[in-house]
Amino acid sequence: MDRRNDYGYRMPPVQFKHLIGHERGGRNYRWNPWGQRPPPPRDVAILQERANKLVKYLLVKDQTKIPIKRSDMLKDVIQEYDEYFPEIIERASYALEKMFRVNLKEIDKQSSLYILISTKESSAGILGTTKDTPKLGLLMVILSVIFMNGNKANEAVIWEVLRKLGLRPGVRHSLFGEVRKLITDEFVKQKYLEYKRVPNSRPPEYEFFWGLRSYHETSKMKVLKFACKVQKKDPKDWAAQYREAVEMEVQAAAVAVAEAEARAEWFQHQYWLYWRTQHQHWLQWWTQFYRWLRRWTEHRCWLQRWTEQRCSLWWWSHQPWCL
Amino acid sequence: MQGSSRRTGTMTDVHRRFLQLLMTHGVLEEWEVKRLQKHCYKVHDCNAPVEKLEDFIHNINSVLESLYIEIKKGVTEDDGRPIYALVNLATTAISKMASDFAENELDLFRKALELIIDSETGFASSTNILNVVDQLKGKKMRKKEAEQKEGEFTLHTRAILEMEQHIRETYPDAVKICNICHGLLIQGQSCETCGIRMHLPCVAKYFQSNSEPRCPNCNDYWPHEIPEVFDPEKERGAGLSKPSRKSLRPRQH
Repeated sequence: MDRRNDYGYRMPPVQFKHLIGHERGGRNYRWNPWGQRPPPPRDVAILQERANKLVKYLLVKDQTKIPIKRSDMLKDVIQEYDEYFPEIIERASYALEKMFRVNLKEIDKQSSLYILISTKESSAGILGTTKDTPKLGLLMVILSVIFMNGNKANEAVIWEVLRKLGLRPGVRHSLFGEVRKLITDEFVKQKYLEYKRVPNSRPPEYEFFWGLRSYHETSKMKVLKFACKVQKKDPKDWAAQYREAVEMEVQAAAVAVAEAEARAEWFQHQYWLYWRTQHQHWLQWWTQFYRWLRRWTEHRCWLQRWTEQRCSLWWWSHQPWCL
Repeated sequence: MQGSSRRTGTMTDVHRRFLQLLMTHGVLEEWEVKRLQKHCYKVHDCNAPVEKLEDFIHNINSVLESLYIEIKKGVTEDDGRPIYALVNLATTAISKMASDFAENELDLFRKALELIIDSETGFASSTNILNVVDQLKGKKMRKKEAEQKEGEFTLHTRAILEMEQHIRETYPDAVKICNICHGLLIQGQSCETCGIRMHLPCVAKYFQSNSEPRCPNCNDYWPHEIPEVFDPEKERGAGLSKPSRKSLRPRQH
């Protein structure tokens, strides 16, 4: 029973539900060594241990801020338990929230990229400055330019602004290093910005957009407030941007609610599974008892009907007109 | 759902913020840690009494136990300052780092580590390290694992805290142990006659107010200068402008 995918390459007998798109087949497909064997039995202790390992793995990998791929997680940590991937990742994100107050978010559903974000509002008042703070400040400036410019900005526009701050392409800065590399390479890899070529432009021109991580780590409202603080204006003065920012907030709130509900449902389901395993014997006994009770009531009904029939027969037979 | 096991300690938002901020900075000195703790209490819960630092950290460690990571307290080898860092207790230290660094960077680190441990003074000069792996430029390691001192490299206290177990297992013959605290020794003083070694802060504490310092093993005169015991009060009083690695001006953002 040979299954062949769209490219005509042979697929393994066990289907990988958690690999998507290009990972499933095609020339990039790599044969996973555990694919052939049947999935191991569900053992909560081992699942929790894998989840703990995954927590540490995510904490280390997130240091570079480059989003973590699902395939990397499967290959390095989860390995043969890929059937239980949703459960392991749910346990890991629960542990991350409980211990470190960071959320594990999937920013790109198509290519399954994950990042860690701190929950709650900004970590306002981080004691002192870390080495990342100047970069984030620069990023904030760029994000505000992009947003105020209508969600996209030409490279030339960005460099105009940066020139005013004293940053020039090709000139090394003491804090940022090579600024061009920072904004076109590092920030893009970290998914803070997107750097795309303007279609049909000769000589090639490039544009900046907000990256997926920026949408999660900050919001349009915050960026608008920052821009207005710099210009000493009221956010409502920028009507179109203000409307957009409000819309975005509403959307984000709705998404958060939906996620929380899905989470709660998942937890409930897990609890029910757990409860079921704990009360297995009692459940079995109860089902048997219930069946017996049903049979008994049926039998009783039958007995009643039979008695009634007999009684009525007797009554009829003892009527004066029959005798 | 057994997410985080709450055996001995309970973790509140104060603990979580503290942990997050400690992880951001990597390694902090004791006075910075105390200040951080007060700051976390202020941000979340002004009314709760500020726990003692040891209990506070013990609370956090009991929750993190299942992940095999811990906030460890260590002492810097050169001047005895107490520092705190989050370390990984699982012994697969180097292989875990494989996700962060390139293969040749890891190789360089391993070779540099060997050089540092084998050397007499605990320092490996940059030229030696450069000779070992000639295709890589001698760049400073990102995680503060190596600390530079006039062209020589040694291990930062954080690296010693985290990798002590691993170093003891990997280089059992070359590793040096302090005579007083029996901990791993990278930098320290050694007796010239019998060869025992001691950390500088251990020396300071052992020979405190002793006019005639003698080696505890062979009873010969101790040939080196006895350093002063680290006193946090004196350090703070001497001036808040002591040179620190990063600027510590608090900033809201």
